[in-house]
Order: sequence, then C-alpha cells, then structure tokens
Amino acid sequence: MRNIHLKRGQIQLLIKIPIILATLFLVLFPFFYLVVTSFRPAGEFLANTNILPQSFTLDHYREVFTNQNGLTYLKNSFVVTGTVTIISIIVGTMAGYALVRSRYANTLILVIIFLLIFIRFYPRISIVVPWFLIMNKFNLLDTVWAVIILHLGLTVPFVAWLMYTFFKGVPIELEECAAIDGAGFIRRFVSIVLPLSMPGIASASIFTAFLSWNEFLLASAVTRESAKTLPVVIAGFVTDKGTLWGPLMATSTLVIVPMVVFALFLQKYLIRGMMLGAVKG
Amino acid sequence: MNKLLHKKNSPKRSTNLFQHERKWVNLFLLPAIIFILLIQAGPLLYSFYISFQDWVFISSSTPQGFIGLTNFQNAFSDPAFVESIQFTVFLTVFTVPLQLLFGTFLAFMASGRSPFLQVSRALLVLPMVVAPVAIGTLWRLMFNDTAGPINNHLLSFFNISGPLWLGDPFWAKIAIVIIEIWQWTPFVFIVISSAITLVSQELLQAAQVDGASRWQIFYKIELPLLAPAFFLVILFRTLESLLTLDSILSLTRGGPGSSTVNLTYSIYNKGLREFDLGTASAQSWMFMSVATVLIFLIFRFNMRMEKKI
Repeated sequence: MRNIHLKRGQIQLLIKIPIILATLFLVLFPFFYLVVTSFRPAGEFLANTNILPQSFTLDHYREVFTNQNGLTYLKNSFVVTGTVTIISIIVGTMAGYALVRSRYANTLILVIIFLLIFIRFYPRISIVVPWFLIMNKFNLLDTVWAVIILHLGLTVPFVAWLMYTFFKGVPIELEECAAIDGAGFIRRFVSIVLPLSMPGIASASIFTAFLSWNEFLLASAVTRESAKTLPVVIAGFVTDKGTLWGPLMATSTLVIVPMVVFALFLQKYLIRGMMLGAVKG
Repeated sequence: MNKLLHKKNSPKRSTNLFQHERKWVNLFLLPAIIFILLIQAGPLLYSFYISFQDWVFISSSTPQGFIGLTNFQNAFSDPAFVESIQFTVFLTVFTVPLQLLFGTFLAFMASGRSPFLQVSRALLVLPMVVAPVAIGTLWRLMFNDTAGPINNHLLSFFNISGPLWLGDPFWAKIAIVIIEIWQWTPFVFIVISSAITLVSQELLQAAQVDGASRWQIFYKIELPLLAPAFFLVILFRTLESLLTLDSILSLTRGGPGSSTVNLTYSIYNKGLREFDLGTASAQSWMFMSVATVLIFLIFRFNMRMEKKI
C-alpha cells in the first residue's frame, strides 16, 4: 500500500515538474530581461533585439546617479522607509498590545479593529486632495516629511492590527506571574512581552518597509522634485514624449532588488503581513 | 481566546491586575489614535467637506461656496468618469477569476514536500513583492512592439506578427489584464497553498482508501474545505483590483487616448492634473462607499472565522 502510494506521488511529481518549470519561466524571465536591459548599451536597444546584448555597460546607472539625481532619490527612499518603519513599529506595537490587554467593551474593540482594517484597504485616492492642500498650506510640499507623514497614516494602523492579532496568541499567564511578583505594566511589556513578540515585530517591520518602499500614489501627490522617492521617479521616466529606457530600467532594478532579497530570505515574515486578514494566523 | 483566558482567572486577581493599568492602556493607545485622527480622519472629513464645494484650485485657492450635491451629479455627466468605471469593472471581471483559477491550479501543482517544490513556491511569489510601478515599466519593455521580446521572440516563434500592444486601445487593455494576472496570481497561490496545508491529511487518505478518485477528492472534500479561503481571496482581489493605479500609470499612462484610465486614475487626474477638487472629492466619496461594503464583508468574515477557531 505504502509503496503504491509513493509511486503515485513520484508520477505526480513527474507531471508537476514541467508545469512548474514553465510557470517559473513566465515568472522569472521578465525580471531577468529587465536586469539585462539595464546593462544594454543605448545604441543596441532597437538595433539588437536578441535577448542578450552584445556588450554590457554601466552607462545607465552612471547616468541615473550623475545626471538624474539618483543618489538623492535613493537616499529619499531609504530615509522615508527607515523612518516610517521605526516609528510605526513603536507606535503600532504599543497600540496592538494595549488593545489586547484593554478591558474595553467588545463592541468598542470591534469598531477599532474595523477602522484599522478599513484604513488598510480604503481608496487612498480620497485623502490625496486634502493632503495636497494641507502640505501646500504648511509649505511641506516636496519634503520627505510630507511623504513620511502620509505613509505613517497607512502603516501605524496596519502594525497595530498585525500586532493585535499576534499578541492575542501570546499566553497571559507569564505576565500574571510577573505581575504577582510586582512587575508593573511597562516592565512586563518590555521584559516579557517584547522578547516573545520578536517574530511578530519582524513581520510587521518587513511588511511596513515593503509598503513604504513600494508606495507610489501618496508619495507622488506631495512631491515635485527634490523629495521624490524611487517609485515616483520611475513613473516620471515614462513621459508623453517617450520613454528614457536606459535610466528607467536601471532605476526599476534599484527598486526591485531590495524587495526580491526580502522575499527570498525573509519570505515567511513578508508573507504573514501580506496575508493578514486573508488567512487565520 | 483572550476572553477565555480572562474567564479562567479568579475575578479578584484580574480586577487587581487591570485596575492600575487602565491609564497605561490608554496611554499606549494614545499615539496611534493621534496618528489616525490627524493623518486619516481629519483629511477624510476635509475631503467630505470639499465634495460639497465649488472649488477649482487653478482659478482660486479657496472654496467658492457650498453647492449641495452638484459635484455628485456632475460626476456622472463627466464622460471620463463613466468610461473609467467601465474599464475598472472590465479589469476586475477579467482578472480576478483568472487569478483565482491559475492561483488555485498552481497551489495544487506546487504543494508537496520535495525541495524542488519548496524552492519553486518561494520563487513563484516574486511578482507580488515588487512595486507595481516597476511591474508596469518592466512590462512596458516586454510589450514594446519593435524591440520587446513578446513580439520579437514569443509571437514570432509561432509566426504571429504581434499587435501594437500599448499603441492600440484594445490590446493596451489586454496588456493590463495580463500584468495584473501576472502580478497577483501569486497572492491567490500563497493563500490557497497555506489553506491546503491546513486540510487534514487523514481525511484525504481515508477518502483515498475508500476508492475516491483524485478529482472526487478535490471536488467533494478539498473544495468545500477551502471555500472560506476562496471567499476571502475573491473579496481581497476584487477590492485591490478596483484600487489599481500604479501599474497602469507606468505601463500605459492611461493611453492610448484614455482607453486604460480606471477609476482611481480618473479621480487622480481630476484632482491633481485638472485641479477640480470638488468633483474629484465627490467622485472619491462615491468610490469609497462601494469599497466600504467590500471592506465590511472582509471584516465580518474575519470575525466569523475567528469565532469558529
């Protein structure tokens, strides 16, 4: 019986392998082609349509970093993503813990959770116009602060929601023992709850960084030139007059690489954030 | 779960535990509440106010007075808005079912413990983690009608001379359908994959012993058990499909003409290109009411699943 079963599994694998390989090709080829094109000399772009270029060049990266202010934009992206991640983890983790340990009426908790889910998914286009006006009024248009503030509005509620679902699974007994021994709220939070919550915090940080790094709509609404983040820069390369292929592909590669690294090495943490609400636990 | 744990404690102990803590709990919540009120609630109310105002930002930097529901009525006499709704619905109708089909198929194909399958599962997720803006430019390259590999290598291999893709209103729409499927099938794939691992192996083996065919097992056992996951995936994908913007903006810029402008894009143009703030706000509130229904369903379904477990 067991033998037959094994054979069946092997046969299944033989059918599966070609299908999966074909899918992998569909998934990976565009990435490969993007990276290759970012090293393709400008003159070859229309002349040589082979997949691989005849020679490789770093011209496009040089162009992005010297003439296109690439370094500033890369720095903007890192500053925004870093600041947003740190602040949202602190504020959101505190809120998530408070919600789990609060004795608010159940209805109030439900309303709060609904609001957190709502902010994660509502059409962000609705706050684009007001924020444009507010930033304009306070002279914050085209500053990284404008982008950071808008991203925080998105990520703080998200981290609170993620950490709330995480803390619900952390047993309360340990904290009770500590409370009996006289440890106060802060002490228990810092020395008992936080160390137990590192997987949750890792998930929340990676997913927050992912959201902020990739975010386009809000960042594009409040930046013009000097505070643009990389996704906004990318969209700018596609103009009505034409496409600046070389710099575009080089910048796109810069945006893609960190997230691909996250996805390959820290996938389970990233996925937990993405699936929050879609799958239990 | 939390509630259960509280019940287990003697009432005295937990009141003691919590009485000192109310102020700490509130203090811990305070920063998040301030962030949400300032960054989300305030501007949303402001946008609600603007939606009843006559306000074109280019001609005046202050609202020109209350005009009742005029903006909401104007929204529908704006052909760009109506057209964008049609395209948004088109996009959702053609992408979500295909994402569901391909994602589920792949989840079953790639389930298993062999190292090859594990590595494949990790790689299949990649399109989903990349900025949609970059996905748009990446496929702008793939679809390029003179130099792109789709026309040059894939279609010419089958002796088909490829269409103009992004230069043709019909094919530009198809191109967007293709990239949306390419980017988001992985989402369906991982959700269904993890739901499959939760289906009890004993149950499947028992059915196998009883002589059920693979198809019967799928249809009679796995599919019903996966139903909740399917339902949530459909809700998620429908909602996010309605909200698509970045990938369209960098793939076609809404063109050719306005053939690939969707709802978010047309509101974006109305507000930040034409600066007709009143109409844009009214349109975004109409959009929001539809989205809210979907978000509420997601919320309800989450809570129900939580209670069951």
